[in-house]
Amino acid sequence: MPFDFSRNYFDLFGLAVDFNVDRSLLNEQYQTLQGQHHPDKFVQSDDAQRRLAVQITAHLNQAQDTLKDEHARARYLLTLRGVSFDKEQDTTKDMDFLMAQMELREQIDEVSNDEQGLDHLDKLARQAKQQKNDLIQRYQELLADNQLEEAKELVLKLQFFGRLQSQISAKQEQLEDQFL
Amino acid sequence: MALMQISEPGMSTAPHQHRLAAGIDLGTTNSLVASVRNGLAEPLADQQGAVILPSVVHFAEQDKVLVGMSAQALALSDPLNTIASAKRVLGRSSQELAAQTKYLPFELEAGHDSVPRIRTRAGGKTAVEVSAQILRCLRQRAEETLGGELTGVVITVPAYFDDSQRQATKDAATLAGLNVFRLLNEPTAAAIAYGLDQAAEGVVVVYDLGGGTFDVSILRLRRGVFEVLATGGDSALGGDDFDQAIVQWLIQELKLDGDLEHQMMRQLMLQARTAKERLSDLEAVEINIEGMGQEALSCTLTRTQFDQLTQPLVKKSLVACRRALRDADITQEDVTEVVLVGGSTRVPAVRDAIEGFFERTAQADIDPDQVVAVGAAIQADLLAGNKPDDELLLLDVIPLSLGLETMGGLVEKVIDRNTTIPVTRAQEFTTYKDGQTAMRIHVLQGERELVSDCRSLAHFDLTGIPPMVAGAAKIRVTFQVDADGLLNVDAEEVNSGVRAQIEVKPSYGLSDNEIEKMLTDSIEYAESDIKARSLREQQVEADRVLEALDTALAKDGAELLKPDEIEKIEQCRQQLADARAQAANVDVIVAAIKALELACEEYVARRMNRSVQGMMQGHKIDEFNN
Repeated sequence: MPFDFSRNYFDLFGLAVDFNVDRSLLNEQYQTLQGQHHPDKFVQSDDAQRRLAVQITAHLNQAQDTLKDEHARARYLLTLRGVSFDKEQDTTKDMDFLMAQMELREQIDEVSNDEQGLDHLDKLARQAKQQKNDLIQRYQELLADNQLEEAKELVLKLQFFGRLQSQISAKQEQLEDQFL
Repeated sequence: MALMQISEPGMSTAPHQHRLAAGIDLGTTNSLVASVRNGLAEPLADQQGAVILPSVVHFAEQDKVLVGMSAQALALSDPLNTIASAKRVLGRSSQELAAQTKYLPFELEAGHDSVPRIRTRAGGKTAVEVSAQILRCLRQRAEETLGGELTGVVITVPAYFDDSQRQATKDAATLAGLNVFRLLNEPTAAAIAYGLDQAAEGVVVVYDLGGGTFDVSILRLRRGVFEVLATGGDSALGGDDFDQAIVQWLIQELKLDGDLEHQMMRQLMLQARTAKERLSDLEAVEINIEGMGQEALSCTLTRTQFDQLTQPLVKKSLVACRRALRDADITQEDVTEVVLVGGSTRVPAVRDAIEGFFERTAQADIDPDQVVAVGAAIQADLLAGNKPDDELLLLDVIPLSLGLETMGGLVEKVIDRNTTIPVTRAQEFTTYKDGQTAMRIHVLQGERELVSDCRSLAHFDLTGIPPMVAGAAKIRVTFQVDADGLLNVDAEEVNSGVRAQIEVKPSYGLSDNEIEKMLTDSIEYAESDIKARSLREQQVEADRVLEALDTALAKDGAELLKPDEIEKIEQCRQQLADARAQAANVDVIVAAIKALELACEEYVARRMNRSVQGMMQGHKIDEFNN
């Protein structure tokens, strides 16, 4: 049976289209599908089949990555309901939110170069996580009410937390390289 | 005999044809080949019974090439024609090597920046060619031992190898005439050797400190699924560096001159390595250096001193472990097993540091020198289709992020490190000028923000973009990393569906043409093959010349040539046509082409004059001055 690239990611893994994802079921289904289509199974096949195997498994990885990550999943659910995102143009216009983000970033930049700096970073990471969880909570309510534009606004805000987390990690690595 | 064949119910009665396959560990210092025989994966030995092949190639007089022990024996007497540690150069540029400021046990030729060539009496050799010699030697060993041609091989690479290093490894295999089933990451190979053996479940950390590279991989093992959660390391940290630390200490201790001869340097390196190995069991060793033309020197190195010398290196590896744990989103407590791979993990200080860091005893049940080749052999056997019922699924990751150059010399990441492969990501670009039909894209690999801090992989020139107003064209560039961790790029203009052509200019490494040329030049190519090939080439060339001449003559021959001139050309034409048809000798065809070209010289000159005149008709002279 030919692989259907157009199925939505939830269907692909036999999951209900819902923000709450059963992680262990996702993992199990993912591994079953990988087992069927992985390029390792087609080493002896012709070129076309080998290429197809790479495409299918890359698609499976993309699908799994999307469903595993909260921000990506939230965004994907909206696109399934017809909301479109323009990468370049779309951003939140909530000035208070943007100011708060800037402040957090400055704090990360200004963390001191010592063990206390690492503790400080941990604290900032927890703080960011709390804010992110609040947004996700609210997003789910809006989605249930089909208030898509409002939900989209939250998704645009959520993407900031991904960057924040990578900034914190980068700083942690930088500190560790210095004195570990 | 057919009646004797009894099969399980439901299983095919056709005898399964066992396909010969092997796993190859192409190491910085040592290389091995292993294969599954009678259900058991084991390294294959040479005729002397040695399993380990030193990764050393000697270029002797009269194009003779020695590989392994026999080559290593000449390291002191003929150091510059005896190439060791070529893997350190694989996929790297001269500039990068210079920046590493590490001692390389050979000299590089000047003027080959992107693909350095090692100076030998047999000419400049690339690391790809040197590695191919090692692979060829292992291939021969495997085919002799197994009694047949290999269907394919799995070759291991350090997990932390970037795209160009992987590509260079694959090129070397092509050159050695090997069919590569898969490039497999070394720590993953080790995990297979351990995991399948012991049906392990849980989170395994593989700490792999080899001769020239360091990798750490964290895997989750569950019911035949090997999922790499994260990998990290340093593709220029290994046992060589431990030796180097001792060498530096020796130079200081013995007050040796800063600028040492290669021969002396080789001796120091060999002594350093021996001392390091002996210090695994002893508390102190005496090192004796045969003075080149001077008195012999000696000194004592204690294990404590050695540990101090190498402590920064061990620390560096632990930083990578910490990072890998974070990338895997786990802590030390989640780890169920730590496995040691690579000869350098025999150093007690290394082992102590790892056990301290992970707070558990590390495992080294399988010989750390052999475990990678054994794992590769198991994988090769499966990929060859010899065990259709075995469930093994390997989910590996990309070790370093892939990105693109954006405004201001910054890198925008397209695929993050530790993303499961295969992976495809698309990125859209637009034109910034009206009518723009071409675009250049710069692909980089690495974690840093600045282009200058990352590794430049390639420049892609997209041409054939349909002309539109600025910003209207949408060019989708798709990056695909396959199961070998190798990158492919594809580009398409979204609105028109036009596929832009891509010309890849690899920043490092060899182009396909160069590989092809090396294949032609390769000594494996029998001389008759070369002759047959060049004969075919000359036939094609002859056809081209004949066709061009006929077209020209039909167009303006009567106009530009006198009858006797035409006759003379026709004579030469006939000679070439005959030589081509007989296809006996390359030289005859070449001579006939030359003769015909000579006969046509005047005709060609007249045609050119005429076409220039034609172009200039109706134009003012000024126009040509612009």
